[in-house]
Amino acid sequence: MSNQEKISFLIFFFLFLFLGGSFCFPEILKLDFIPKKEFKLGLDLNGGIHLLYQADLSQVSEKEKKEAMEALKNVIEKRVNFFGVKEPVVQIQNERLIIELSGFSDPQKAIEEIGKTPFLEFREKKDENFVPTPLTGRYLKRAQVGFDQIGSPLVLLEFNDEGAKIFAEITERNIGKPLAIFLDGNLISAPTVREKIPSGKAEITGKFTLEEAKELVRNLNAGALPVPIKLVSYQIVGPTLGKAFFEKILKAAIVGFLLIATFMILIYKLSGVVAVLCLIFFTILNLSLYKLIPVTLTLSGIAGFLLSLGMAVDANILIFSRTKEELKTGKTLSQAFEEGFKRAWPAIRDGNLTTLIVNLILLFFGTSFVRGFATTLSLGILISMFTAILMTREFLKLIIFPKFQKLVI
Amino acid sequence: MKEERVFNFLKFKSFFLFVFLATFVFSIFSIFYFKIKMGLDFKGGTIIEIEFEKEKPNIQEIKKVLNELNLGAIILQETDQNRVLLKLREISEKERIQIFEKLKGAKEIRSEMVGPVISSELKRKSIWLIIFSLIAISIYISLAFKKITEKLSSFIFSLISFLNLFQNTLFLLGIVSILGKFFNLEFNIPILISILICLGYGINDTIVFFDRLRENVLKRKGKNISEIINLAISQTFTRQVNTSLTTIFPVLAILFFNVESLKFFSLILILGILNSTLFSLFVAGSLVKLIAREL
Repeated sequence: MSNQEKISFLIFFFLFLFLGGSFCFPEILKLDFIPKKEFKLGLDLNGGIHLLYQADLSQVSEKEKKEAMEALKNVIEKRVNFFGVKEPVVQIQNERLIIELSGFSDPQKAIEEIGKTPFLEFREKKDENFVPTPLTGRYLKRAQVGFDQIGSPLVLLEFNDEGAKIFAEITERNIGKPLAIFLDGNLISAPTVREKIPSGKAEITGKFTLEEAKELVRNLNAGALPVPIKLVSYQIVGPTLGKAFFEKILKAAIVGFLLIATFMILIYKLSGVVAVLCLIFFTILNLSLYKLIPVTLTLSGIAGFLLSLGMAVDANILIFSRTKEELKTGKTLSQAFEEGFKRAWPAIRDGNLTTLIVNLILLFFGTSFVRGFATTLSLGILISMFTAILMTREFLKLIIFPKFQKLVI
Repeated sequence: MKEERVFNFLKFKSFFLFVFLATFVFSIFSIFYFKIKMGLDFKGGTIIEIEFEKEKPNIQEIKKVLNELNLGAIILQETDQNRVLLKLREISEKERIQIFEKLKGAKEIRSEMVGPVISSELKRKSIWLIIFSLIAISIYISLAFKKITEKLSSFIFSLISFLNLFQNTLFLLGIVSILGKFFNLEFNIPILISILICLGYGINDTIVFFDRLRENVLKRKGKNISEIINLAISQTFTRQVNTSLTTIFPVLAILFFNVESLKFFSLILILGILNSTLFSLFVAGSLVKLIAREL
């Protein structure tokens, strides 16, 4: 490397550390032009609730299963939004529904509210208010999207026999008045009754877009279809516990890093310092990616990162100990480093590859503990191939001082 | 050119092999004697940890109150001054509400419920996970030794590597059974993961050692098999110890700061990494010497 290259390498290196550091830890190093973004904490660090519901789709035909799950998700999303949780997660997984409320601390309420089956009801106007009628989603046979003569979408309702009877009575006494449709206590639409309807069929006309009509049908069918859900698994972490965990793992991370750094510098001197600088680079690159991607940080995720930290220096140790051996055979410092890299590479590659492969299998495995761990560990291993090998290699070229060989390594 | 310092490790061959065999026997004994306690993930059920704001009522009292709900067997453990851990079968939403109605003044610190559908699914998935990981590691081992020339028995190397996997697994399961007996450790997914990671990471130490052994044979360093083995151990010694140490450091910090849910996870990682390092340093070479007359 020419002197100019050396200088630009160093400038790039420390500029990245400076900017990346400010991005990762704005509490310590605040720069106004750096965009603010927070770490996304999983519920074991932030406190929160993870619920897994199994939907009972035995009454639903194969074709309508997907639709029923969508409807279920919609209704539950609306309920969850009431809790005022930042970024709630409601996810369909085959016939299951995953709900994650990070930072929410009232599990009892959440479980009670979510566990209700979607509820559709018709209300009639009394004085200025809508009051419930006996007609609910229980009597609705099905709802579907239809079109009127000029082609605008409308919603067709069909009640079962019992429902048809009730519907006839209600429409009879409400001619000329609005009849409101409520879902989970929210007014969806309030069409005006024109005549008594004995057939058990009704249509809701309104200024629907096709999308709106579809959504309404979905909601109605969800209320109508009894899709009972059953809580099959949950995990609740109280907010105080989450905070305590976070503080402990943070301390562990700092101490773990310091232990590695001290060890490396004591054993490998100036080369150890280079390895530690590259390890700082590694850490900041990882943390920045956690913010950018974003990777939800859980306890197991941080453990995965810490393990990758230890494995990242493994590569440096392999290189350095090989270099030391090569020095004993009488090679010059720069020859020994080159040889060290060359000889250590297969072992580093193979070692990282086995861990990566086991990790990939873990990623497919799917529970949140496992995924958190495997994500950060794989990311760490991949990044370490860059920082612990390529970057260290360039960096070492800056400290080849043959006169002070004892200090260098 | 300086002389390489070679230590005669094989002098203690019998001792190493004896200890190795002993861990085998003790692990098997411990697994059968203490049994491995399956945890929530594989057995299903509910755990609830509660904290009482004021004085914690008597454990027996809590038990009596909860027994009125017909929840089946309930295990109660005091985890902290005002904290109690309840372990019971899986419960419905209604039963959950009833429990907290009965336990006035109790705050929910954490809880977890795994229904029977989920636990049997986790069991199935875990078995696949183990199978796939072992296949992957086996492929890796056989590829790693494919390059070995015919004079060297790659069969011996593969055999010893599998012995390493096998012993490490048994050793860790033995530890799990002992921890289960004395510290209530239950076998859950994190423990399974830590064992698999140890296997994947630990096999490298042995492979590195064999790699060096092969290199020495090809370069015709050393007069006989014992010298070659001793040289390979001496050459890889620092490297094996240092890589294990740096990997263990951050995990040790997790253990030290007592991050509860990761406590046993990190302990298993540390023991697994140490075990495979010791294997590669002292046992692998001794085994080669024992099995192979010549390399």
